[in-house]
Amino acid sequence: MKKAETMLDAVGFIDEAFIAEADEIRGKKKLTSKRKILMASAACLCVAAVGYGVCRAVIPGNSRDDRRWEYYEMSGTDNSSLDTVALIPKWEEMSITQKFYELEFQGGRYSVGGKPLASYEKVGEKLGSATLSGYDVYEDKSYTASAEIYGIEGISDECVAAVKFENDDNYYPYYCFTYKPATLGEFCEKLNLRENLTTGGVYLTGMKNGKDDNATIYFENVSTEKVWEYLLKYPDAAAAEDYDSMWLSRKGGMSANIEILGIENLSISFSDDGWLVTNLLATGKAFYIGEDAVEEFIEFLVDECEGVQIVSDAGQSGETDSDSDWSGWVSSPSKPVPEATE
Amino acid sequence: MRFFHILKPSKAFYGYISEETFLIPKREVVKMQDSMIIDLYFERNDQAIEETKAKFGRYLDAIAGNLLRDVRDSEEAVSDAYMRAWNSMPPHRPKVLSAFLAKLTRSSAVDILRKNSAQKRSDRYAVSLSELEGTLSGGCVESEMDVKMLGEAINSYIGGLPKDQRQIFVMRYFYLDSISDIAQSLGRSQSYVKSLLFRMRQRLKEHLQKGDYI
Repeated sequence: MKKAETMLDAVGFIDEAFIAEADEIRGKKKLTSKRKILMASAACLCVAAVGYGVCRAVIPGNSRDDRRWEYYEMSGTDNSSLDTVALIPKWEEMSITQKFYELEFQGGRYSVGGKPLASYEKVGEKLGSATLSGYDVYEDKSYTASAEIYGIEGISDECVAAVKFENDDNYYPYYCFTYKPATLGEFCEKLNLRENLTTGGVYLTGMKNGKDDNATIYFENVSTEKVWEYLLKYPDAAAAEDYDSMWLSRKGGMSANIEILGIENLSISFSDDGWLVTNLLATGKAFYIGEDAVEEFIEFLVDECEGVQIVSDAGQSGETDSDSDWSGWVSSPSKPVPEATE
Repeated sequence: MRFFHILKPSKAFYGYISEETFLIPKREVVKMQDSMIIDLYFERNDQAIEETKAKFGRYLDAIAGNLLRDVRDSEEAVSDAYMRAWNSMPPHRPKVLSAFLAKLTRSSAVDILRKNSAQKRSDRYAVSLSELEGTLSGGCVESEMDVKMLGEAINSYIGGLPKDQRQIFVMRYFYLDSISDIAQSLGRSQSYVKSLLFRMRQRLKEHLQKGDYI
């Protein structure tokens, strides 16, 4: 028996309590906002592509539950996670940032953001040099690369650094995942989000639409300015100290983009119990803005914005098991489950 | 015990249609508690398998699918797991039925993988194997008993890890979840997950060497 297969077999003897423990996290997958945002964005593109310009409320009502939304279906996203599994490339096939994806600099730890900076004009002064480490999983070999570290104008180097490798003309943004802001105001200021942030359409989950009381409603045209007006205007909102152990039930969210850093389709979301959550800078951060703030934003969306209910046709032959711990693995989180009429 | 109805929309794009249009004949699903299902096995009641399918079928399909990436193979693995569950209860009474069934399914799926040709094996399986290969370098484990002891050593290692790290380890090497799926579940970057797994493998290797397992 090969050594690796032996290990794989041995892992099969893992204690059942540990397996059950891991399932707690796997179940969370259905609540992650990124996938919902991607689905909502895909739906939005479909709307534009096929000319279904019928995104309007049909019977505006006085209360949130009275509001009726039209349906829009999207196809082919249900099993996307099963289709996007990628083999780790061989070392020689990797890009420089795939090889050296992590940086330790000035006491902080950074991970690569992806694309090189779009504009070198924003590269600031040189902050120093660093040696990055990489590891070839196939050959079990370690490598190092030298790089110069630069700041980015208008953005604190506590949050992001630009890395320029030897013999490479590009500047790659690396995000500090050990940076922990104390407040929402500090976070916005250090990333200069007032100037740099743009947001996409907003989705709300668990909405009532006719007989469906678990609808996902997507609002395409919500400006970034409105997001500031309702959600980001609380500079003193304190950051959660124990984000990793928090269980947050997302009520809604939106995609978040910082063009200068090449950040696209990350998220800003919010929970019923007043937390604003974002995965900007590679790790999750939560700020307490209060239940009233979230409620006001939801009211604004429902009362003043046009939305559609997102419906997935994928897996229509499958079961929709709202009571199942495992439903997040195979069913779309936005699939409507209308109540039966007796 | 809870009752709920399963309904689904019937057309591709609805526009605005009256809500009754969406209703299809309802189906009632009764979900049993785990202990009641286990009791059925102990009573040698055929209904045990049906109840297991109703409650855990999709979960087990997902586990087998993760490893095998082939619908027919996955179905075979899950069917085999049901049979193994039937054969092992009694005498075994699992503490966590879902985890017990997960182990049986994984084991069946691994057996099928071994039978399959190298071309048919999933990329995910290959990558996970390659990651684990280095952990046992220099070791010589042959018998089933040795594998079991190695399993216990792994248990003792991950038992000492912080909960979040242990969860990542189990997701990657028990369930063979992809790095991207794990990162999504945790709200962390893929780089974070990869680097944590790398460090865990290094420490596991040290742990195994220290305990003379390899």
